Order: sequence, then C-alpha cells, then structure tokens
Amino acid sequence: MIKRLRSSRKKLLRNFTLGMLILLLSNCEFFINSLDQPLSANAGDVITAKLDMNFQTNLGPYTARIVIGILAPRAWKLGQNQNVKITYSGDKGTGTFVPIPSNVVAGGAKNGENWATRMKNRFGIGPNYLDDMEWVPFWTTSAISTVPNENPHAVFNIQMKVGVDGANTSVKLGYVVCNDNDGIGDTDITLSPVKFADCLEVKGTGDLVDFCNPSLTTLNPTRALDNDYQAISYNNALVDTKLKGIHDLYICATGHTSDGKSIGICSQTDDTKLMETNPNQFQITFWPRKFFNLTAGQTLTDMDYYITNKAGTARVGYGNTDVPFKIKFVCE
Amino acid sequence: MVNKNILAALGMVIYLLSVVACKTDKLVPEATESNKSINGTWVIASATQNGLELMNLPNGMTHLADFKITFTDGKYTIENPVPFMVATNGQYKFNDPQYPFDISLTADGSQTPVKSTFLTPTVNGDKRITLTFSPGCDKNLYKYTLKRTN
Repeated sequence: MIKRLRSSRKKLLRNFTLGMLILLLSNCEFFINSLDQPLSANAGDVITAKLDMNFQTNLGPYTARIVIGILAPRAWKLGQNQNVKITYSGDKGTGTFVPIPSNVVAGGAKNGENWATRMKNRFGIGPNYLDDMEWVPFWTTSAISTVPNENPHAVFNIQMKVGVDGANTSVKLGYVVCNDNDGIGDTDITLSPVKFADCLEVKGTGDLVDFCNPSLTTLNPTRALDNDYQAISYNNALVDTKLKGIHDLYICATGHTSDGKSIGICSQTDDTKLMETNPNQFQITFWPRKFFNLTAGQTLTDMDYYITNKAGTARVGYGNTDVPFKIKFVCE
Repeated sequence: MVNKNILAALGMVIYLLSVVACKTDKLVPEATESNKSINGTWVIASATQNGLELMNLPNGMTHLADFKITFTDGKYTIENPVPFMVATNGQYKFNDPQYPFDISLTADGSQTPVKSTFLTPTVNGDKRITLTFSPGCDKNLYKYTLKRTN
C-alpha cells in the first residue's frame, strides 16, 4: 500500500513537472506587421481594418484559439448585434471569429478576470483621453494547430460598424492579438502585441465626443441621464486660463428642464467644490437630480456650466472662452 | 483468518455507512430555513458605476453613505435616495422565494417592476446583498453591495 502511494506520488510529481514545463514553453509569439484602418467614416458605416500578422512558434506543437480584442467607445456596442465581423486568411487557411462570452476567464488572468476586463486592466484606454471605452474580445471558432519552428502568416479582416450611437466622435481604436492559452502577460508584450490606430473621425450629429485630444473638461460617463452619477474632470494645466495656479475651484451651473425651467446653482459651497485628484487635475461627481433639486415630475434635458474661483469672479468656459461648457442628458 | 478479515471489512463498511449517514442527515436543509429573509435596514457597503468605485469619492458628492433601504415582509422604504433601481417606497418580490436570484422592486403608484439580479455574498460572516441595475442610460451599469445596519 505504502509502496503504491509512493509510486503514485512520484508519478504525480513527474506529471506536474512535465505540465509546468509545457506551460512554460507553450509560447507562441505574435507579430503585428501592419495595421491598415480608415481614418474617417460616417456614423453607422461599416469600416474595414486589416491586421497583417505572423505568429512564430519555436517549439510545439501547439493548438490554440486566436484572440483579438478591439478597444472602442462603449457607446458603439461592438460586442452586440454582430456589429463586428472578423475573418482571417493565410497560411492556416481561412476562418472566422466570434465574440468571447463574458463568463470565460482570460488566459493568464490571475484573479479570474474575463477577457474584456483583463485587456482593460492591462492596456487601459491606450492613447485616448476619455475613459468611456471597452475592450471587446473575439476568438476563432476553432483552435489552430502549429508545429515547431513554424511562422505562419495571416491577414485578419475586421469589419466594424462604427458610431452606432450616431454621435460625432474622434477616437484611436486599439487592437490586441494573442492566443487563448497564453493570454495577456503582465510584461511580455510579444505574446500579446497591441496596436493603436491614428485618430478616426466619425461624422455624426451633436457635440464632438473627442477621445483623441485632451480638453479642459471631460465627462464620465460620456452619455448620461439626470438619474446617473455624472463626473466632470477639469484639467487646469492644459492651457493658460484665468484660473491657472488656483486650487480652490467650483462649478457654476444652469440646468434646463423639459418643462422649460432654468435652475441656477452658482454659489461656492461644498456641493459645488471640485476636488483635486492629481496636481492641477480636478473632478466633481454629482447626481444631477439632487444637484438641481428636481421635483419628481421634472427631467433635466441639458446643463451649461463654468469653472470658477472661490469668489466667483473668474470663470472659464468651453475652449477657454466665455461660452459655457454644455452637457446634454441623452443616452444615444 | 479469512473470516476475521471479512468481519473486519464488514465492520468498517458499517462504520463508514453510519458516518456517511450522519453527515448526509446534517446536509439536508431544513424546510423552514427557506425564504432568505432580508427584513431589516441596509446601507451601501460598496458601489460602482461602470466598474469604477464610487465609495472612495467624498460623500458630499455622492451621498451614498446616507442611503438606507428597509425591507419588511414584501415592502421596502427608502431614506436619503441616491441613483437606484427606484426612487420611492414600494413593494419587492423574489422570482423564487426559496432560492431567489432576481429581485423586483415596484414603486408605489408604478405599474413597472424594476428587476435586478440578487446575489448574497458573505463578507466576514455577514450576509450582503449585491444589486445590479441601470437608473439612467441602460449602458451605465451600477452595482451596489448592501450590508445590514443592525
């Protein structure tokens, strides 16, 4: 009995070591040779991005599904309604990609995160300025096998419906490629190379949602109703304004309701004070319904606001002018 | 010798069976310990909007720490409202009273129940309730975890 236990322990140890070795070696390096993506489109258009790839396997054989993640504004809902269609063709034949269900744990995830979260944690929003973006993960419908020292080439054809929210948008889309075993490492970028496109301008309607360029104020979420929490961030270091060097800043706002009323909230109190989150970076988060003391039947359609000093004597508006910043409370 | 072995094995089997039988008995849930009572007053222990933590913001901005909801046998009352599934008092209902995974809140005077997934994680031995909902735009997702005050 003891003998048998010992031998099975030995076997376990051997299998474990072998398993670890395979894990360590199961690396397949990806190279994005080029990214070809249009830089202008109309809202609702389908654009095609082409990723020219090589994946190099020194050892093997490996069998894995290829994963692509796309970083885009959340309002575009790339993961829904087949807004994205991806195919590949190359040395390994042709095939298609499908969305990865959100309950699938990402390869290489230490805390059981799913693919979308893993990508967001690792790559954030890349060179964009508004954190209202999501990584949308896709994988091949079946696994692809390689033998040692193979370097297959493939072109991924990504068709995306952009700007389904109909809004004027400028954004730098991101692309990451990896396999579902290795996933996304914390440091090793060769297993999951990432590429961000130049600024894509999508022509739609309304105020520009500008992910590409820094602005004096940014909103998070970029689309909200009066019953959402709305955060306004103010960058007091971007350009020289009347408020340069001042650290005691307030918001002076006027809300407009659907029943045609204007509500001014412009006194410098704790309710209107911005907090300094980083040097010269300020933020206020508020619930518009409470901020403007709306009654049960009232709805806020939009608001104008300025950033002011404590005395209320110096104020900064849109583009450092005397025109107020504007928020429209709409979802699309 | 053989008989002794068989006897010993038989004894072992009987012993094991009795041990297992006892354990199984304990594992059967009591029929009365059903309806996962949530009666009592709850406050917000953690809150996120689109995955971003809200509780680390000053309470003067969010007022989340002031929010209270009291459940009493199918009815609820709200104090110090914040963006939530409902804005006024009303009634609540589980999809399955025995093993709920959905809770619906219907504000008084409203015809439309608002539904949330109902999770009850245990933190430091205390039961929590996690609710997920969209009070404004449907793509803005909020997750509040409630803890009992008393």
